[in-house]
Amino acid sequence: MNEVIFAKDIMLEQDVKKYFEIMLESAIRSHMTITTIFLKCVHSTSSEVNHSNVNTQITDFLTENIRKTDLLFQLADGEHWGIIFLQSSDVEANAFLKRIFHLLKKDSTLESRVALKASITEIRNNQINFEILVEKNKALLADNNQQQWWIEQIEDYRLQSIELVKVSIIEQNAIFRKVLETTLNSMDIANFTFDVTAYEDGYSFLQSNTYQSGHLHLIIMNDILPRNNGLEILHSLRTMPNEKRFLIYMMSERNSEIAALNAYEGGVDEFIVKPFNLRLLEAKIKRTFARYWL
Amino acid sequence: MKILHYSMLFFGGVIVFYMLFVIVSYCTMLIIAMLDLRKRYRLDPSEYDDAHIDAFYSKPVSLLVPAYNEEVGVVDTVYSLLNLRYPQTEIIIINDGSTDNTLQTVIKHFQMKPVNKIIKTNIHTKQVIQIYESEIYMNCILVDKVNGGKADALNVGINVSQYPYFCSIDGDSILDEKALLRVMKPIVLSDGEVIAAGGNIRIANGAKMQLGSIYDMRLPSNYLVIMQIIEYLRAFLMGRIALSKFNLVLIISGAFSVFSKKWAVEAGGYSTNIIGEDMELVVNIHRLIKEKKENKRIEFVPDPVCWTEAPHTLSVLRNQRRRWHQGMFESLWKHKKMTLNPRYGLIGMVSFPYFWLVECLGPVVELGGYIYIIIAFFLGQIYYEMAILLLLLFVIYGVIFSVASVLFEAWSMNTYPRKRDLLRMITLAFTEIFWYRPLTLLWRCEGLIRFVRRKSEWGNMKRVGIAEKEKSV
Amino acid sequence: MIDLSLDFLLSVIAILFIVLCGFMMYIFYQRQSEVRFKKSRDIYLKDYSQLWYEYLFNNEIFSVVLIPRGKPQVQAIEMIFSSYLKNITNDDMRWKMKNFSNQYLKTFYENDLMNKRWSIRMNALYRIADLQLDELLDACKKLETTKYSKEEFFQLLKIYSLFQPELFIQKIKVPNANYSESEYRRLFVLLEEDTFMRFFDEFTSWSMSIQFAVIDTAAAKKNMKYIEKLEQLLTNENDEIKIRALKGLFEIGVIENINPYIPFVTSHLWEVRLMVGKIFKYVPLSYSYPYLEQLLQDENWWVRSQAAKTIAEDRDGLEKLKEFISYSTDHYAVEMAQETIMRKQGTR
Repeated sequence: MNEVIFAKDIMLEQDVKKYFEIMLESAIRSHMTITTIFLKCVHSTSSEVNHSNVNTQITDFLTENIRKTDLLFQLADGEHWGIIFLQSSDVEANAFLKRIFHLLKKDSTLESRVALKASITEIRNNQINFEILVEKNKALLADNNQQQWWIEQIEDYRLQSIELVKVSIIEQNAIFRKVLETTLNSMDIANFTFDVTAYEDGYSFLQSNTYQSGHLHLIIMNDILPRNNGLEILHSLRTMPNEKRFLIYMMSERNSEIAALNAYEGGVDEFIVKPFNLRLLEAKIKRTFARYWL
Repeated sequence: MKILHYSMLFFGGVIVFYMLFVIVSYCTMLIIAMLDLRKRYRLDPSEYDDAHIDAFYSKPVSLLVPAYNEEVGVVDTVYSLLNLRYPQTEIIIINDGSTDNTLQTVIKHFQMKPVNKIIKTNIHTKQVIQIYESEIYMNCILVDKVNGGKADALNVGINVSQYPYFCSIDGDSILDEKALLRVMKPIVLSDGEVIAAGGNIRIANGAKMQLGSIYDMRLPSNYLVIMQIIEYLRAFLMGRIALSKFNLVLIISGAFSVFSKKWAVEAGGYSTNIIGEDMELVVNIHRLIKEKKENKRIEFVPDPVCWTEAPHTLSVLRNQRRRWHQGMFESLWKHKKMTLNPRYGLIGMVSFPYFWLVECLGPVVELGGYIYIIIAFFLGQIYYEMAILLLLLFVIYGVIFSVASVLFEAWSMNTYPRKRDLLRMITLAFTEIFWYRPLTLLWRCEGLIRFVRRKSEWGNMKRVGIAEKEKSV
Repeated sequence: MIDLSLDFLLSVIAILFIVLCGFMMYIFYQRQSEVRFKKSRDIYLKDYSQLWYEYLFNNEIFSVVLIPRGKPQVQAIEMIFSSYLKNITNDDMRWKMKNFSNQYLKTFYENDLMNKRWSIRMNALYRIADLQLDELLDACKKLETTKYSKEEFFQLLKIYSLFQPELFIQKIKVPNANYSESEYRRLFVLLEEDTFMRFFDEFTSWSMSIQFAVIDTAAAKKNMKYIEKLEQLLTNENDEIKIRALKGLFEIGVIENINPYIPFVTSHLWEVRLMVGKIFKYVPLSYSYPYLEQLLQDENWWVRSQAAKTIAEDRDGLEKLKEFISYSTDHYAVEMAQETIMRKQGTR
């Protein structure tokens, strides 16, 4: 058995392990998807190949073809390469594989015909760690009868865990407040559950302290409110640490461009002039939350 | 003895005739007001309100808040302005060289940052030190200036304002959320024929407020304040509404009134050398209207929209009344040429004589009536009848009119919905002629004397903040 | 004589007191019934608000319990409908409300229309327009045969404009009904496009406030179709019309050809020059600069200020202004340019 020789500047399994945990946690917190690809050579049984030579060639080839945001590494057994794609889903990973497979098939400079197979893992939750990831992928690629250019997929970690979103409705008109409450409560958004509370004025909202929890917080409020104006609530929320977790929708009956401008400059995410279409509001909210995961 | 007898008869007669005259004119005004309010009884106002919240139908207004040592009340006032249901406003707070922490309070509370701004000088004023803009509310401006009195502060506000209408608000009053909408209504609906409008001022003592909104309306417990509430109701039902109907209004309260900037500037803005600057401006504008022979109006809006704090001690009330009366005299005196001058139309022919006779000289004659009753009591029975006659007239004039005002207000506007409050007001109205009326008469006469002696000096009003003591979030 | 008047006065006072006492009783009685009214209204609100929501938005079947029995319930329904209408646009909801009103509220409003109280008739007219009770159109027309007030006629016009535009055009011509601009705007804003377009034909035959309101409504609708109409009005001899048309064109904000506007740079009215200064915002500075420079040296403060602002809004505007300062001898214009530069840099 030859000793495994690694290219000088490639990251190794044990180095990546630490980074992976950090990346995973921060990605999930900011609602990003991570996708990994593991690659393995498919050796044609007939020919004798210089293993170390092929190893460096593949490493060089991959290094050339990944983006600056992707992380390439090699496993300790020397037979597998891994790539971590941040902020990408399996769609991008598949596209990437298609591209490099195409290049490899065409390429004649490689010493002998090198063929690869790959497995893709899309990750959106933290029920996985680096060891399991490596284990599972290795197992998936272990079968020597797999064809060249074969692509496997691990689907176990692609579902994000369901996240609680606080929803606060601040509206003076009792009837309409109830309507908003019912509408929001009955909304069904994948991977999120809503915890809806309604307030009749700004003061009771600020007294409630719900806005201090770390959850994502959707706030639907009027611009004019008795006891603490909507604009003031907006200001105090936007000056809080980690203010990005607030999604602020402001409703207004003042049909004036200046009012809208002021609101956007103050940091609202949506400014909706009353009367508006409830379905449109629902659609806007859905879209906002859909953007959270790739 | 003969001389005394004849003079007693003479004065008694004069006073009786005067009283009859006043009672008849009040009755007329009350009937006009009743007809006016009856028509609108139970009309749904939300139709107008809802339509005119759209910027397309309304006109932008600059709100001017002059503040001199108002650190307690100014923040609440600004909050109530921010909560106004109105499409386009700018709020201009003018710090008139306060010696307390007014400037710092406002800067801190609304996160004011200094800005460079070009000011167009329409009216000459004291120097402006610095202009600030709020980081929270784009339309909120603070002007810091050298002390020059309320009128001067308002003039600075007019210079800084960018909209065609401005509204003056006292630093210690709270506005209803629909206040501006309602006060602008006559202006908008008349296409600018109405060039100034004043709101109906009510007394806020006793109401519970927080961050600029009223959330429970109750009658205060202080008798002096309740008497003032009744007095305001009377002035409103027997005066303002009827005068407004015939474009005869000479006073719209400075605590909440809207003016067309163009006309106010042309009339020279607020006069700085006079006590009643709000009345002075109205009279000046009336004068200008007549001199330019234009068909413009000044109106009073009956909806209760502006809440202000009334003095709750005798000494402060005394100061206030003295000042009001002195101010009114000054203005009337300054424009005395308009009196009975046909050139000034109904203003000259009706308004001015009415103000001279009923509002200015009234206290003197009435006080004379009180003194007459007392003297008659000592002089013996030949004058009893005259005295009783006078007393009965006072009862009609004081008690009946007050009770009628209270009841009528309860019927048409229902500001104090609790039955107990209503009964309390009625009971107190009965005591009016024995203490409150003579006291205010005395104070107003003092104002007259001060006017004669040209002793103009500001009575300072001691205030506590209107809102319950509570910390803002 | 005094004797007589004493007795007389005493009886007057007594009568007045009795009247006032009666009045007070009446007020207390009325308050009581108001409380009862409110109570039964609130019960309806509490019990059926959710049902209404389900019916209007979730396509649940209509339940007979929603049909109002008596005034308090009608008022509760009015409250529900008006909160919805004020906050939500939804054709299906509108249609359902209209049908319901035509079926179950019609008789209530029909009676109110014949009430002798002005305010009750007005309230009914408001509701007929809000809830689109078209079946009461004839009852409304009948109101015209009685002695009606100006306010009532305005509401009638609004109702006609919703249900019978032809009649509306006919009625608005009635010379004795003159309303303010803002009232006309409220009427015009709801009109269908082709009805509204008809106001531009024989434009000058309308009263001044109608003309103004038409221009302003066209501007607010921001419809490109009105640009041509407004440009035609620029040749109108009335100055106010000219100014408003320019303002309307500014608000629509699409300028294809600068030529029609150039003569206005030298207009004798400062308001016109001001508006042109604003309009040039929509034209590349390379075309408009010579004219803006002329306006920057205008005798009027507002015109100078606007010209400077318009120049400064362009990407190369500040450069142009600095250049201008270096060669100009016009003291006021230079000052304005400097102030504008200062402010523009200050806000960054």
